[in-house]
Amino acid sequence: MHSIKPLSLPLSAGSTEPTGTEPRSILAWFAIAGQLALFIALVYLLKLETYALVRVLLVALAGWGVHYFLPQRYRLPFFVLLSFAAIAAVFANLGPNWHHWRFEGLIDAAWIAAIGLVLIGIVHLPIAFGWRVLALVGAGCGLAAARMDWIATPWTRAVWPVLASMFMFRLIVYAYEVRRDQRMATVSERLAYFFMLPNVCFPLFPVVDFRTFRSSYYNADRHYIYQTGIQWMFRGAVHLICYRIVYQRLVIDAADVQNQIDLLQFIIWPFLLYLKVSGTFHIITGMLRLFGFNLPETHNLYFISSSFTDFWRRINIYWKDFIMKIVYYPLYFRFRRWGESVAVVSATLLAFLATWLLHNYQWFWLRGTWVFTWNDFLFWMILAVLVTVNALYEMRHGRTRRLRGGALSWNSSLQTAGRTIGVFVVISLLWSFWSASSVPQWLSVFDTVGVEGPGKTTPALVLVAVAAIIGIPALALARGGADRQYSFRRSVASVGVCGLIAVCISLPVVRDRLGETVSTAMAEIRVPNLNSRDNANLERGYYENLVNVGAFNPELWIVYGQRRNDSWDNLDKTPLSEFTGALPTTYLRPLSQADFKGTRVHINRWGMRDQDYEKIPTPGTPRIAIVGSSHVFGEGVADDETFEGLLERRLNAQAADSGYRDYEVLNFAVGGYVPLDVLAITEDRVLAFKPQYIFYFEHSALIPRMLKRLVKAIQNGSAYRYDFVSDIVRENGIDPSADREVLQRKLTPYGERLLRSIYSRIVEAAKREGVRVFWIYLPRPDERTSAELERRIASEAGFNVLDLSNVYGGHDWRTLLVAPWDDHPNAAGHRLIADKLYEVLQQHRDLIPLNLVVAPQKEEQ
Amino acid sequence: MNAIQIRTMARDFILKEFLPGERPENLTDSTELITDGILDSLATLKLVAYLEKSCGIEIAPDELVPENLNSIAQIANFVQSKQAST
Repeated sequence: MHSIKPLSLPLSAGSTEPTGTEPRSILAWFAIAGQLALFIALVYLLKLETYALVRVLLVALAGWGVHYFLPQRYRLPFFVLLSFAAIAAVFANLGPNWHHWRFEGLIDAAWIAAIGLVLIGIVHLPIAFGWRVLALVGAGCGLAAARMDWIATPWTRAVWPVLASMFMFRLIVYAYEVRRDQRMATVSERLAYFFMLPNVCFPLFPVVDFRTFRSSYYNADRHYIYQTGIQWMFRGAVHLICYRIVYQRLVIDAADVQNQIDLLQFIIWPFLLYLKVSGTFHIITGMLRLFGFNLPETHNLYFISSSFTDFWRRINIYWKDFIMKIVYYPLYFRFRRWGESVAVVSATLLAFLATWLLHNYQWFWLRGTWVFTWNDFLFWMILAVLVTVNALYEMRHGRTRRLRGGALSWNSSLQTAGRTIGVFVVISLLWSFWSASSVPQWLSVFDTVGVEGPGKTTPALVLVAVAAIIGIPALALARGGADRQYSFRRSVASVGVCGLIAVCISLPVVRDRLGETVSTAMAEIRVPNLNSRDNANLERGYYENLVNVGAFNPELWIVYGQRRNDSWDNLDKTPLSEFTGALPTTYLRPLSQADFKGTRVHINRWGMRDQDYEKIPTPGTPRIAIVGSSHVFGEGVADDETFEGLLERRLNAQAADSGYRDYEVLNFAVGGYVPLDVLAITEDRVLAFKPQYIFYFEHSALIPRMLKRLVKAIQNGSAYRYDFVSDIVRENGIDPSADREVLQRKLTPYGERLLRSIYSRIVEAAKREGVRVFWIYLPRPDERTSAELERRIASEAGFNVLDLSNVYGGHDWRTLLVAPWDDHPNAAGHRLIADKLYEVLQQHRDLIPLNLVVAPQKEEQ
Repeated sequence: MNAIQIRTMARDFILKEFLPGERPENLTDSTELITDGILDSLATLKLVAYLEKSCGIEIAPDELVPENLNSIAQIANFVQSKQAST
């Protein structure tokens, strides 16, 4: 047994004998455990990652506390046990509620272990290597068939990303090493390699080199390994915080790019979103270091790469090493008899082609779909050409290198900084191209070059700021500014103090006392859900037809990763809906019924999701027509749970006291409707049912959604039914045959004008029939954007405007959603809406003389 | 070729090709060449070609690993073991 030194701290890396046998230190134990506890608190308070990570971190903290004191020979088996415990902990409770353990999740965890062991076993079958590879391919094909739902499996879909991340690439590396290296790895090494602790909550961390994994194990002073791990984890947290800010603040749709400032924003944000990946990689490798795996630093200052080859070297070192080992070096050696240049060019191009294919392979296993798009292919090929040209240049002219602790001359440093800025700009451009919906869409945003923005910010100012942010650190790096001597004490002090401050600021009791600015900024960082752009797109089903959903957007990846693949189509994919080819785009099919989003939906003979009514109301019966889209239609709730039905029942429950015999509320809402559809259905159907009132429900961020629909209507000609559409197209020389994304961008400046025209026309049509029209703001449960613009336009158009903006007040919005991947209100949400609507109607008896009485109906609800 | 000769030869080559202008005493036998970014993939291939030519050995793609090439000392050991095996 080693002695315990209670009051000593290790001084520096390599200060004592390596291989993890250094004396234990109670003080060092407290220092590292304390920092880890701070990190967990930070992740939890800022909701930086999923609850699964917090669970894994707690397992890691408890495990590390014991692991530190274990003799060296027990540490690796203990790590393996912890890894399996983490898988069980995550699968036993996938939901947000800590107290709801899912014991059936343990079956999934057991399946991961069982399938994994079988796959590892195949590599060791006592048959020729070629046959083993064939057996692996066969097993892979079987699993692929199950992944595509061709074969039913006894495990849930949650198993796939975890299983895939552990085996899809590591098996390749493992088989490669098993074939070449006759030295047998221990069982613990093998199990640790595949089932490594952090992997269960980070499916995007699939590749680690087996040889590096083994050889780096306690290959330096263990306190140095632990402390740098903690350091990386905090650095990862900083990346994730920056990512959150970028995601919530900077993301801009191509359609909204209207001037040069927007253009720069559009070019820069996609690359910055990669902070999510680099942040998680830092956390993963940091966690592995806590258990002795001294893995190389990944994503090291990749924003300040001084060349394309440097970028490739820095960004994901694990992937780069994998490709070099499996593809690049073998190809280079095969081609070099034709000359060095030919070998370098061929091997580089083929290595990138392999990267593109394997990227799709990875995506298939994680999501179950392929990502073969032109953007994706062109991105990898352009990057391949840039790296190849760069490699040839370096081969002929060399590359400026320096030893650790040394510095380049000022002249070389300035040149390096200049090149770094150039590389950042080119990579940003390339990344924006990669994440664009289509090539024409990406090209069209450059029309805005020369168009000045409305504010004081100029493009020159933005470019200077970017140049300074990238160039100054690059200069410092070239001058050796990042080569500080490692010190355990200094690292503990700096990480500990910064971590403590970050945790304190994140505590609500402290945060709220630091003023509105800090409080607002922290609130933005803590928002773990989709930004308004993705939310709006998700709601209207924009991502349904995109094969690469989430490929460039981790938040969408999470949403779609949770999603069930059955019975969750959009309304227009069900038999409930019939496509008109005109406006409104769809009608509900009369007397149809179908399962839709987990519930049975019935449509009446008039094409409404409602009970049956006569076309003309009985005299003396107040009739209200409700129009709107999916939230009003009631997606994801039963027929008798929609707020429209609840309101009608409540009105009728108090009918005797009101002086009316009966009330009728007719639901004309259809999922996916935008204002143009609402106008068309109002003119063509609603008014024919002789309502006295029309309630038109809308939420915010309406115009982009409307424009996307308008584009389709323009292209199929149906939108020309309205003069105001043809006027805008004609007056502004808009080409209706352009790419859809391009056309939408061209129409964006006229969004308000179009909405005003639509609203005015609804109001005019209603007034002609003597119907009172109300525009009612109904937010989504997780809505964070303001509807002020829509509200103003509605009011100016002549609507009576009502507001349900705090309808979900006091409730956790996550408990009001139909599903984590679907932000429509559930039954509880609809009850809140019905209550709030009744209350608002009572408050506006002057506008809506429905003779409402105060009749609490809580018990019934 | 003994270990000292191989070390000298490798050091001279690395200084000349990848670290021109660097003071020779700064490049020690234990300087981490791959970890510190001196030997990237292209430099590795250049060094391999040089070692094959000067030392009369043949290096396989799967031997291009840090255990063999991460320092001048490791390079010397690797080359010696290759020479011994041929």
